[in-house]
Amino acid sequence: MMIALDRDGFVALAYTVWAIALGGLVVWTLAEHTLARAALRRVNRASTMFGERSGS
Amino acid sequence: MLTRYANPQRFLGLAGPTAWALGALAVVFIGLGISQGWAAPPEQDQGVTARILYIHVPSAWMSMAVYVVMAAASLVWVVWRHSLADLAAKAAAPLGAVFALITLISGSLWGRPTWGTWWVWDGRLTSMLVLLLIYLGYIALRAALEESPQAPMAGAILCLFGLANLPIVKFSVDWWSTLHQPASVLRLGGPTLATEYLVPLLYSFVGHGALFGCLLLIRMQSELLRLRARRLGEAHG
Repeated sequence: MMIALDRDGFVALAYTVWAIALGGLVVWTLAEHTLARAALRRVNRASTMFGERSGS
Repeated sequence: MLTRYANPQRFLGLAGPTAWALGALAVVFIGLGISQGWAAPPEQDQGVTARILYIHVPSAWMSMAVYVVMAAASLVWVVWRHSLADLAAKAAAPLGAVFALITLISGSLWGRPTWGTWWVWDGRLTSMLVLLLIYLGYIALRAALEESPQAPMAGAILCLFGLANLPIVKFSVDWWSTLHQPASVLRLGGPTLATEYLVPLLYSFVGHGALFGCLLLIRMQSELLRLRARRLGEAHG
């Protein structure tokens, strides 16, 4: 495959890959955290019927 | 002290503010490293391509440092059976895998204009690929065993065996003839890199390290919250 890139192009591509990879990691981590908190909140709500509660 | 902070409840209380502080530190230091690095004059042989240094090298160092953290946590689990240590190893693996992937891709994008090739099967590049495969193997193993009681021990054994690859990654450029340049920062006799490139590189490394710490703490928190929700759910059927 022939890719016509000058030196600036290679640098730009490398930084784009880096930004997408680390940005994706941050978004994924925060999304998982939000889901985990929501799951605990849901269970906590359900368990209040039994008079128990777990801190989040 | 280890036992004091290894209490899950105390950990949850401390992890939140620490993660925010590390996140802020990461933004500041990565910003400083890249802005100062780009402000430095282009390198005389490689020109602007050398700017890939500020993301490639910190990612490479982090991919190895994360593995050391995983191996230390696995060892703590094997010796003391502390669940937070296993949680740390499990949470760190995807972060290390992403750092290794960034290293390989940015290295390839640096190698093409510098060496005239995207890839060579030499010691440094191949051992870094093996490191990525070990990370992926660990993640796959943990995903396959899921909630099995054998999962932490199986993960720890794989991780500790994989540790043998780290010296190969580090010293491959000294042991074998390779296109990859020899160590220019972490070497006996001190760094050979000019200060105007070295300082931004170190800033960027500190920033990448802080980002890892921030994400690790958040991922461990998430895993603890998920476990707590599951146990509470099971308790109430």
